Amino acid sequence: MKNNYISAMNKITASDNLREKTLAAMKQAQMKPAAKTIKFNKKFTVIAACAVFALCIPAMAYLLDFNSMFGAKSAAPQMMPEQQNTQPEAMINDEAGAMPKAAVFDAKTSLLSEEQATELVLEGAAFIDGGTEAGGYETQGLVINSVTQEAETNAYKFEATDKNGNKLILYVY
Amino acid sequence: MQLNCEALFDKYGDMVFRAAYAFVKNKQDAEDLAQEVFISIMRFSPKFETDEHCKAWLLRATANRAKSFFKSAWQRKTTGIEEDFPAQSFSDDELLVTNAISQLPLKYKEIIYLYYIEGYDTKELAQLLKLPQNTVLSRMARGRAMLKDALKGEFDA
Repeated sequence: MKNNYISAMNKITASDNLREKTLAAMKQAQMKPAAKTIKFNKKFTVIAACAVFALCIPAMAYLLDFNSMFGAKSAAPQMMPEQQNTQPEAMINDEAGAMPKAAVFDAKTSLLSEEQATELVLEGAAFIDGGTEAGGYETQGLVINSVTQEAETNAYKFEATDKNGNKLILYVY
Repeated sequence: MQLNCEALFDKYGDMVFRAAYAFVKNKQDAEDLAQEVFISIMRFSPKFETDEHCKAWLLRATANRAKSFFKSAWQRKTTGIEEDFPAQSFSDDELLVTNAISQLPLKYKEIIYLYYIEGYDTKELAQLLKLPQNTVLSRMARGRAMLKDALKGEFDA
């Protein structure tokens, strides 16, 4: 059976003109070689796509300002629970002459420590109720001497000394 | 290895044509396939280290072209003229065997042709056709079984 197949296949011959036709076509093809094509394999394509995607995420985050959207909370300084309770809701000191706005503290909060009070003053959270100096005041260089809470108003009273040695009384509501 | 049209065709022309003929069983189509294979080798001018490498490339290209030929829309939608092998030059037994092999699906036919006519072993066939060796072995076994069915009673095992 095998020998029959081999001998039969050996008897098969092409047309006489196949050689001429093929050689002419081959010579023509040799004159115009095929353009090299870039072939991607699947693995490479998937890896490249993942890499591009991974690189795009920070770029998109930057362009769409995700940082400010999602990073706002984390960017805020972490505060201790006690400090959070003592954070005033509103404590804006307007320009001289304007009525000071109240700074509200949690009722449960005990007296502020000297460090906390200094911090508040330096941050501009406290305002001065020093008679003639009602309103804005230069807070830099203030030294807090004592802090007490007034029973009637629950306001914090800061006794401070400024850089010129003047005694000041600060109230934080 | 520099490709020379005449030398290449003179050396491998018959081999490619026979392989194409064994796969498509039609002289005109086989000549077209052979021509396409030689054109593609000139267009892409692959680099061959040995003659065996070049021969394997041509046979693989022929097998691939035959697959494309059977997949083409024209081939699927039309019925080709059935062409028997040249009976006048074949003995009865040769005709019987050759016709039986030509009726096999291409995937079995190509393995049997390359194994028996071109003399490749199964390991070489696996490399040539980019198939696992076990697949080559199973196709060979199935192809033989189908031939045995087709030629039942005609030949002794």
